[in-house]
Amino acid sequence: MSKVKLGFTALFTLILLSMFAAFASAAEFTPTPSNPAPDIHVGTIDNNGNVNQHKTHGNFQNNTNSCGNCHSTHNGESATLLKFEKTESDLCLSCHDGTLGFYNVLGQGAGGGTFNSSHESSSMHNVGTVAINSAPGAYDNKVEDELQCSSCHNPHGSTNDRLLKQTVAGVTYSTTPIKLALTEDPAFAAINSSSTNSGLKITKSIGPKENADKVTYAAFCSTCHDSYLAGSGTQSAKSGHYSHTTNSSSAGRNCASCHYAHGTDITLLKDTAGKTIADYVAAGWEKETAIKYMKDVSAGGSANKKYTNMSVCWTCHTSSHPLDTPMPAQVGDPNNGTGELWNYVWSSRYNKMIPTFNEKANIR
Amino acid sequence: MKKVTTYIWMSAMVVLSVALFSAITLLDLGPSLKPIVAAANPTSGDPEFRQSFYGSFEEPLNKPMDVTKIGELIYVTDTKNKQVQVFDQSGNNVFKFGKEGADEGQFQFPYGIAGDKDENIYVADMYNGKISIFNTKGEFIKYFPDQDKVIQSPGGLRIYDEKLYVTDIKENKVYVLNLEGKKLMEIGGSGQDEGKFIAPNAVAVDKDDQIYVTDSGNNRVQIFDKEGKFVRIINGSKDGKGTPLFVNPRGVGVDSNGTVYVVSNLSHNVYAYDKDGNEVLVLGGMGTENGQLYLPNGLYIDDRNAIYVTDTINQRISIFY
Repeated sequence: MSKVKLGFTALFTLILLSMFAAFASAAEFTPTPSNPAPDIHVGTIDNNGNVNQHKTHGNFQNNTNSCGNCHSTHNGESATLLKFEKTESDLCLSCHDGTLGFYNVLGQGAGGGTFNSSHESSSMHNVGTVAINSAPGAYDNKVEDELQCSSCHNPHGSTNDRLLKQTVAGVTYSTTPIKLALTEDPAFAAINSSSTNSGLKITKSIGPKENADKVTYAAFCSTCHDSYLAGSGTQSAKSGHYSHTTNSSSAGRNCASCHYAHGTDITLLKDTAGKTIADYVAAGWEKETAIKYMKDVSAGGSANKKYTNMSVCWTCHTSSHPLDTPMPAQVGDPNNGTGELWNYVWSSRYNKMIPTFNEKANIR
Repeated sequence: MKKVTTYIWMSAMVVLSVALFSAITLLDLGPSLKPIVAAANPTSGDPEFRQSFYGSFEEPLNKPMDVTKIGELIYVTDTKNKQVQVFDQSGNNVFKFGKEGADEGQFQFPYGIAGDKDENIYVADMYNGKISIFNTKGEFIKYFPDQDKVIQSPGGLRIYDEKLYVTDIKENKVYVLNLEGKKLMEIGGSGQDEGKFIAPNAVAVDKDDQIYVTDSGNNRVQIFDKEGKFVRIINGSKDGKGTPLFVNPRGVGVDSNGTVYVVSNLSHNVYAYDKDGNEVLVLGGMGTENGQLYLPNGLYIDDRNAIYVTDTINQRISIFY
């Protein structure tokens, strides 16, 4: 045997050995945020300059078979090859019904409100049953497609928080990603503090994060509810109507100040003072009485509101205008800041002390 | 033999057959006889699709999440309808119980279901955070007396040997309690390590008292010995060490041969593994045809190795044996 042949044999052996070593070491794989699976490497910094975190939606693996969960290559029911298009929300609810513990859209604790229709005074974005152009305030929006979870969310991943879409109802409302005011959810502290979850963090939201996000978020809503996007004191060129400000970053002047994105029900609704049924029951009310009190009696339904009926108006508009409304009786002295429901607060705008509901501070 | 004798015997046979037939029909003995016949004439070979139960015509099953057999009846948590539907083995809807609410006998998210030796029915409600106990008539008896108040969001529920096994989805734990409500053991905690869970959705126990827990968020089934010590993982890969085959695994069960069946919800299959962890069978596949599944969830294997699978979107229970 020539030396060359021997050399090749040795080289071949070495290659085989190194391959074997690679396979052997791969068996002992520990996932990390930058290396969630063998041979998959992702950047440690995301699009927004933050530490990249585990994302169930998106970050698809190179050997993914997940496409087939929702799409059929040759037997789709729509042009996007979706299978079972009519049951889209059922697919999402396979996990988001609480059976995966977190991000339960039927629960009562999420920032977007709830899709649970089993309680009184509920209203919601009725996925799977209404057309997109049936949105209140729709003027230019002529989209006849059915409203689905994917009308607003992109299951494939998004640069916006909570997988919010960049283009809704055919309108690209912004190219700046929406950031939400997310904080780690203490209810899932054990998951959040675990070092072995490749960066999985369970967060909760109280709405758009910075001022710019509030404005962009209003633009997001207005892709469907287009004639409702309104500045202060201006008449809508589309509908001819005047509207409460919805497009401002000031507190109480954007969509998310008063409305939930998903939906509302009587367990979430608050009154002017920010009290819920649970608060009144804890204070000794009969549950039935508290439910009757909190019931939304609006002809148009509870309209995804965070506050029952029109009670939120009064939370902000207490005494800024001549028609002063008497403030409710309460425990504590509003003159020294111990009022349980409201206190006198200096208004630089009106240059006087104005009775102000404590709850006003919670309206973003 | 005389002609007359032959005629008498023939008539007797006809009369007896008619009598038997009418008795079965009129007294509705079919459902009770069917399992006896099935037991006397066992099927061999791999399990295959046999039949589906859909519930009553007026109120079909809506998102059935779990199924169990107690005595000779099949109980299904009809989750979106916030009730339990009960079937005989021919698939006739016998009765149903429960309605929406947070009070006694009411449900918000009925999930795991199991029976004790007196055929009382235990139903876990993930939202109400309680396990309710009903008698065979479907009347509420009491809440399961969880003495240490450990159960927060019960999901999967099974009773074996007078012991109640329940998964707690938010707590990421499995609790084992005796039927008086005393906690005997807990397994788990949040995480991806061996012995830790993210959203455990189902539990089963084999004849050697090994405990099988579906660790849905981690796409695997973990096996523990009777002391709760971690034994191994099944995730569809060789030795359970590679990339998981399961996508959102749910119901789990073990038949009398030690074969483990796992529902993979988002891939619409039921995978079966032998005692050594080798895949031996795949049932289902996404679709609406007989034997196919769409977002299946719960799984129960009865003492005759019949496999019951809840098929949430097709709104039915499919049975394989």
